Amino acid sequence: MNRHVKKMAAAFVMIFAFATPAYAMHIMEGYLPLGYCILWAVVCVPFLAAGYFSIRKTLKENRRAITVLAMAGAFIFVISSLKIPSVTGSCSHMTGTGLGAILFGPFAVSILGIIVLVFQAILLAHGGLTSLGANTFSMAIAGPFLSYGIYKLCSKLKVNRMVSVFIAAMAGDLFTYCVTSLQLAMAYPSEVGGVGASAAKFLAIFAPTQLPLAIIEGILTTVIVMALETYALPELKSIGFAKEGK
Amino acid sequence: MNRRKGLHTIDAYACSSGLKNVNASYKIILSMAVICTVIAADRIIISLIVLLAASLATVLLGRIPVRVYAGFYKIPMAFLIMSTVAIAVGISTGVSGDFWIRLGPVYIYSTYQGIINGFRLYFKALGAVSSMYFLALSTPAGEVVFALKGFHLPGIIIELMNMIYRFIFVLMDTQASMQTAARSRLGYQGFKTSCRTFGLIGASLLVVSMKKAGAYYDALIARGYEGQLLFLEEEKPVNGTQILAFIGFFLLIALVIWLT
Repeated sequence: MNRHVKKMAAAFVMIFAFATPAYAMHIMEGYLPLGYCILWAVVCVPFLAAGYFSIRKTLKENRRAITVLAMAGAFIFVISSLKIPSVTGSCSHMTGTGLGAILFGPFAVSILGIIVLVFQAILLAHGGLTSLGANTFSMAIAGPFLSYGIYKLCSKLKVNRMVSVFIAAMAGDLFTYCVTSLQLAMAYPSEVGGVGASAAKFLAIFAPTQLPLAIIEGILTTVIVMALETYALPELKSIGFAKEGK
Repeated sequence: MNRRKGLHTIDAYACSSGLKNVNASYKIILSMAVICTVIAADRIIISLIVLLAASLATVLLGRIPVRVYAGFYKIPMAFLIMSTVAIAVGISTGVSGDFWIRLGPVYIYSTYQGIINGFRLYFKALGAVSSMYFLALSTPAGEVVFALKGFHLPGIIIELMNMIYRFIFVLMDTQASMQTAARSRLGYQGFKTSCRTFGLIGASLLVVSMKKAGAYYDALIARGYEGQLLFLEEEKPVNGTQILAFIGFFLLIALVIWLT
């Protein structure tokens, strides 16, 4: 009997590990109570304002940057909508925001990120409109800022460039997943154990897909940056990425 | 070109929807109001009414094929099922709750209340999603951006949204041809090769996008661009029937809430 249950549980986990499709970490439309929708939107405001002023300053100095920024946004959208190679055969996607933060800086990514999330909701039906605030915080603010911080810290500590890109992208992805779990847990605390127990449940149920995904995100971001450094140094310089490497 | 999925289909259906001549701001306000009502009411009956009404409106008035429409509900299913299970089910070291199974040292348990809450949440999310699909499948994204202008978003943001919306399609096509090229050269044989190919495509996509960005800016300047893209906007006035439908629907919901 016991073994039977174990088998069932294993099968259950496998179903999720294999069948989990795209974008498992976008909180869907209608999933958060209104209070939390507003709370997370308000939390995002200072970051978005900072992003807005940083973009406005960039544009004042250089009008040409508008098409570059727009292309950066479209690039993040396309990268995050691509099916990525995976070992298990399930199909999953990058967040792409770690890469964006490393290349374009976290402030610009916060604004580009919220625009990308709006388009993901109305063009791809991923995420939602009322959950936009929560998703923006986890994907366009928390993840990118952590990635950027780690990347900067590693380059100060003279860690190998590729290693720091890998760690930054992976940590950003993991952080997004932790923040989302926490957001869900705060809205739906357990009857026994409260927010903590609930967060543990969400972390556990999404772990089989999100942990390998974070590592793959790290690998792919590193491969992209490596290829860029090999083939596209002038472009990297034009967006201000390669300066500190020289 | 038939490999294009998701992005192209939703926008394509929105462009040919039977509801595309309805004022975009009206559709945005209607769907947002309905979503907020579903979430605030938090009753299965309201969620089901909205699910039914939004589906009927999208399929009958918007003329979206039923099969295609049903297919879109698969997208959030994984998240919905997994999160709802996480909410309805708990893990503890001792016996607790109304139902439990033992897995070695731990018990997986659930309660009647937990399961009822799970179902409520499940239908609430579906109701809200149906209303979001109503908007997405009846309003092309470009028109949503126009409408946002009316809600007084800063000009730079609107400008970026307009450009990003267009560039997404350019980059999608570029990426699709790169992928075909890579596939025809066995670029996706095995996990390691796939990762390398993905990285190379990502990098060349960024290079191409930056080159295009420069060229597009020159093209814009050559046509007298001064920081604002102006598009021809069709005027779509809201008519009396639509206002009545809006009021009628919310009266119906208020009535149901009052009755139950």
